[in-house]
Amino acid sequence: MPIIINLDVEMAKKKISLNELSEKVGITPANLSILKTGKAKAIRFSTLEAICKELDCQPGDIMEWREEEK
Amino acid sequence: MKTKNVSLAFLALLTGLIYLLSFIITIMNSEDYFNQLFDGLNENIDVLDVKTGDFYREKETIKLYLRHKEGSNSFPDTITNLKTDVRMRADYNLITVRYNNIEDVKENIVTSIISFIISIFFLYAFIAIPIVFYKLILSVYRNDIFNNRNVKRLNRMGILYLTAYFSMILLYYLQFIRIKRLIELKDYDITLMPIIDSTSGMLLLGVILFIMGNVMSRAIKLKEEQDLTI
Repeated sequence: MPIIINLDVEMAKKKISLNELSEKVGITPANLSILKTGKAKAIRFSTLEAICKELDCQPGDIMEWREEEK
Repeated sequence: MKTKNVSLAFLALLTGLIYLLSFIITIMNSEDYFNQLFDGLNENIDVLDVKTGDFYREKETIKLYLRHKEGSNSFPDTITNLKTDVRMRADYNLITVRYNNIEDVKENIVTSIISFIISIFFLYAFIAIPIVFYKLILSVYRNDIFNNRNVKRLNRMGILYLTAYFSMILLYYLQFIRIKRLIELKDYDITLMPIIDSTSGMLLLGVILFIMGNVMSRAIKLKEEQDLTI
């Protein structure tokens, strides 16, 4: 998928673990892991809002579009 | 969930009973085939040919589906109503005749072999359908509904129903060709249509099962998408 998730970069910048973030955002670590590894098919605005709030960043910092390699 | 499972179990049991009932009805309707089997055991039944004065042995009971040559509303025959002792006009649709086919046996070896092979296909479908069905029901009972195994089961049941339908039609068609070669009636045409008409439910069910399989396959994709929405 040409949408790249850079959640791990933002998490490293803020020095927050996956378990800690999942607890603060209110989703399971398994689901956050799916999001982090780019396996998710979609993300709810409410989840995105909670993550941005906790990491103090913009949606564009977490997600990025790149042209698909042919 | 428990109530749902109980109702599902009840419906599955009901379906099994209906299937068994349809099997028993089929067996009862195939009484003539069993008669033929017993005829083989009692070959000493001789019948007098009125024209030649010779005795011959009747070998076969044949069901004939008829259609009057002048259309279905002509009512060319009559039958007596014993309640009023009045003769009513009648149009025969199904008659059973006894036929002496001694000369015909050798010609029919190829047809018999083809019929036997088709019968194996039919029998396989007839046995496999309830097995696949109960595997599907068991999977639903365990709340393991939306998976590719169930899609395959639905498609397999569709294929089995179509196999059963076409093998049945082919069997009747082979018999029909043979009957047309052996018997010709004065006022009636021998027809195959009632068989095609009465078995078309199987064809419809087969196609519906394919559609169900397709719907379930799409439902699985939607479920995966839903599961992967964070």
